[in-house]
Amino acid sequence: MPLLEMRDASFTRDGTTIVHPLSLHLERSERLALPFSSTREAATVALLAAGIVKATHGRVFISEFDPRIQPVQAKRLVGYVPYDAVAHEFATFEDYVTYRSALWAMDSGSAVDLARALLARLDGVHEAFARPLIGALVGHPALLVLDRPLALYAPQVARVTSGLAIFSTHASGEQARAFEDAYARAATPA
Amino acid sequence: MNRAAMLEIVVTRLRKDRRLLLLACAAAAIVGFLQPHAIATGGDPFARDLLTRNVWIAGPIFFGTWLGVVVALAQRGTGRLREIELCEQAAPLYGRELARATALVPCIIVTLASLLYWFVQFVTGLAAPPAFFVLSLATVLASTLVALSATLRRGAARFLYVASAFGVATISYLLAVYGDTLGPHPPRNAGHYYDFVGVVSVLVFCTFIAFAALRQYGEALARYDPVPDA
Repeated sequence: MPLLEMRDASFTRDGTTIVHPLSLHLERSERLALPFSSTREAATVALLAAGIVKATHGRVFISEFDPRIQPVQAKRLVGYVPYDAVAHEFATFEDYVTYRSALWAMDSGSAVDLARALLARLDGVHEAFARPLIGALVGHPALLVLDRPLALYAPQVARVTSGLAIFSTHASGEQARAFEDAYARAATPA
Repeated sequence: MNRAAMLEIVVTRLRKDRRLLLLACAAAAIVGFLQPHAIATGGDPFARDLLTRNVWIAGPIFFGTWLGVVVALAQRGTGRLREIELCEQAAPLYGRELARATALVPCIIVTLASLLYWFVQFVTGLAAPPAFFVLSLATVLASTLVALSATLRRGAARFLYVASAFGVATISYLLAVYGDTLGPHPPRNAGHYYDFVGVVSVLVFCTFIAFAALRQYGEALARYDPVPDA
């Protein structure tokens, strides 16, 4: 069973089609970097893949779960990393991790330890990207969904995501290729 | 949802809303202090009773509702709590669980503001009796919960939920002030209406509205799609 499957999934709001019908398949430990024609479509597909937004037509499955019917089970399998530079709504990094661990019903002590270890391995990554990436990873997801990640950070992302299925959306084919190439280079042992 | 998650959501949101909490309490204290305190004297005792109820109830209900609507609308979709909202949306929580936790925050803020309003009135010499304060508080909580659904809507639907919140306040006010005129009429020498019909009808009405509004908010939150604007 694929970890992420979309069957003609599309999203429409107020008569405007934001996501055109899309079908895809992603198995465990696989990677898929998909380009889209607009940033809005790329962002919305990432939200669909993370089970946060529900398709208006077609189906999305995360493992065997349909986020429309089993949102909790589906979201447990996914770590979602948004594109936007985040506002610093938490006083400290530890506060942020503690908050996330409570929402994911995890032990906050071990989550903070894991987060610190991940932070040490993300040297050189801007906090605005590192923080949500670590937040997503402390939930021990099987699938990581990245909304328009920068190719610049692909090597560091590869360092902390080995073995995970990764689905990333991009605003152009060039950006998708750049991210995928940089990730593949970093993931391949020299 | 475990208790730790609920507590974390409430504490985190309250920490972010501390300025809003202070502003709401300050506004409640000022309005409670400035509200006209004149109680009618002379004339028909039953008409006077209705005027007294009006003085007790009108200010706390309508000001509290206005405050509740403002606090409720600040809870979602303003961009102020974007990181928190994204975490909550991505978390493995059901819409109803998230609704309960997030609804607690505006309820705590308006409860504190209402208590302060009543306390300032008490200090300045004319606070509503506790039973009437409870009616004001119940109304404010119910209308705040109704207004919460407006945060998930846009355009006319958003306006409709805000208008419904004030509609709840108006019905509750009418029941609290005039509800007892529909019940058994007390003897002339009693000098005031019985409180039973007004108190019970407002509490039943607000409980029903609050329950339905919270349920509706949970359903809407479960279906909510936080798609970025163009």
